[in-house]
Amino acid sequence: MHTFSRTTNNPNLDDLMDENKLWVNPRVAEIWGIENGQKVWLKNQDDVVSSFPIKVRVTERIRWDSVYMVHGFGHKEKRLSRSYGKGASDSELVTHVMTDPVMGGTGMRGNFVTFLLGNPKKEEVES
Amino acid sequence: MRYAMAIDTKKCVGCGDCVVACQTENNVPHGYCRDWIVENVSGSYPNVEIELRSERCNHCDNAPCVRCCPTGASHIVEGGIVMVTHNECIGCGACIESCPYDARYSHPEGYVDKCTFCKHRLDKGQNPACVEVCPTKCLHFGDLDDPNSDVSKALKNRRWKVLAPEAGTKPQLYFLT
Repeated sequence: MHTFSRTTNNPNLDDLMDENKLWVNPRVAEIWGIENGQKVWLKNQDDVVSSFPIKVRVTERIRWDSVYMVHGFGHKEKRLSRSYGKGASDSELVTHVMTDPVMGGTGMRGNFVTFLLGNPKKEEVES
Repeated sequence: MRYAMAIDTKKCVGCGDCVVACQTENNVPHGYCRDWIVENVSGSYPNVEIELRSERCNHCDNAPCVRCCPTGASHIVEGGIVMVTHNECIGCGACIESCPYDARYSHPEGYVDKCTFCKHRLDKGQNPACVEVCPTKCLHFGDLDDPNSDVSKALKNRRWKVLAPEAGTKPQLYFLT
């Protein structure tokens, strides 16, 4: 639907898909007590938290040891009037990049995430 | 002459290109659509079956929307295409309620609008916009009376189903399974 993470502000494509959703297997959702459409934040192994929450989509299309989201959402630029703050960005959670010593290719799939059910920024203010 | 469309549910990836092509080609107002994607998921991981369908008006042979139209704005033209004459439509919405496929919408300018199989393109010998743009070529369009048409060949070689056959509307959108 969207292409190269650049088309989220296009009016027609925004109409089709205005935010990305986090695909979660029903079995995992039951353990976490997450409902369809609930907003969660994501935290990776280096304690990096996503800037924006993402809505959960409980579906059998994803395996229970993984979550999936469409790339290209969670823009921080406010001038992207349609896509600002919608959905979460997967690339900001990629903090661990491995480089192939021979040809310099980068492996960005060595990152792991967990759910944060409450707003992490709110907690900071309270404490 | 009987126009029909066959949608290959095994090939459709649900990209939505047909939806955007239709909105652009037919000047569909923002937030409305004449065709849409339906996703059916059954079973549980790892034995999951996914069916993606590009749906639109079924251009039924026995069209309830044409029967219930009080002004005759909804009518069937040559090739079996169900059309709405915009300036005869009073926007009462009876056809929207009668359609088992929910294929019609109320245009903000006060009339009811729907898929026309891109009749303005057919008149020029072109395929509908959605068929033309489909990246996986999963939409087959043509004349059912012509055995060499794209749609006739697709229906001959594959198993297919129609939606809501119990409604008795004789839909002309075939879904290859």
